Amino acid sequence: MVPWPQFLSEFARAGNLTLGGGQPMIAELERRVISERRWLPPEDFGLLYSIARLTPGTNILAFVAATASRIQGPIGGVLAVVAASLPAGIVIWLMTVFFDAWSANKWVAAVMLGAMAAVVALILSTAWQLLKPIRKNALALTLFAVALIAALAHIASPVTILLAAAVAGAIRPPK
Amino acid sequence: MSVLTLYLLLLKATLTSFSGGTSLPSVRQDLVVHRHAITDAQLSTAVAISRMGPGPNGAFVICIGQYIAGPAGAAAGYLAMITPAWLAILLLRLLQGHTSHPRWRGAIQGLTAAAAGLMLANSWPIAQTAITSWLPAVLSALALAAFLSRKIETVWVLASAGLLAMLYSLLHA
Repeated sequence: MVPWPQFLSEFARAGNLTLGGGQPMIAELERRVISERRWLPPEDFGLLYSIARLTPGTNILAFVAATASRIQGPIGGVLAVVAASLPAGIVIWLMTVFFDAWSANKWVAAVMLGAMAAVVALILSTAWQLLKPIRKNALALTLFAVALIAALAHIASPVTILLAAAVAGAIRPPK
Repeated sequence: MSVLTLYLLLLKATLTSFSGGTSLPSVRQDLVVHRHAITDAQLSTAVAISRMGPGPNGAFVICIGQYIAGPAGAAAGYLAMITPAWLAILLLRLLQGHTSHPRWRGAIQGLTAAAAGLMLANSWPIAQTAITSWLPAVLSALALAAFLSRKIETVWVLASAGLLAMLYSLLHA
């Protein structure tokens, strides 16, 4: 068994100190935990990555839970998720409190005006990144268009749209 | 709104997303459109703050929690963010050897396509709030080019857009 302080510090380091979202964090964890420390065999990575993709919610935290539980059992999985997210969560909370308290300040308001404009671009680019790998699949494109129209026209809730798309995808899986 | 209700609404959003940011449509539907607990401006501020800080992309639910119910709400948001991850421990035991099944891959592909459609649909009302003059329009276009190039980290794009807006405000004060 891996010593607990060493085990938890690896997940805390990757989860809280890596900027750029889930993919860089997963890459960092793979490098540290599998390639360098060899706590798991390299062939486990594909399984753990698939599990993370299949689990609802934040992929990186699901990857942490699956990887850590593979190394140290279910308790390790539960604790590693907290280690990988709590310090960053506290920082995000403090930033929110700060911005809330200073939102009337004209310089902070100017910064947020620019950042919010960039958020619109971020959402658009996220939609593109999701669509890009499946854009040549006719069914996926149809589901994308149906979801877009259903959401814009308020025909169904996001949950209903997602569940219907999952069922449609499962009925006609890619070859 | 009670903290438990807030937790359950945010949990519903995180449980029905398949990456951190894609819980945004559900959060918007429940908390902006139906309950009017936050505004579109607060939603986009929350996304901006979470993407400028460390940690996973889905951390904007912590900011949402703080806006609605203070520190207890932030804690509810944090718990809603991490709860689904623990399902991975169960899934690992259940699905070993089955994750490459075509129907699973098909379901994931369907979810991904629908999530892209939902994200695009939700960008419209947020854009109406955030892009109110030519300056944010230009900044948004520049940021989109930067994000699509994938060469600059998100945090730097957001920070640069913020600093450029502040600089413009400074020059025209």
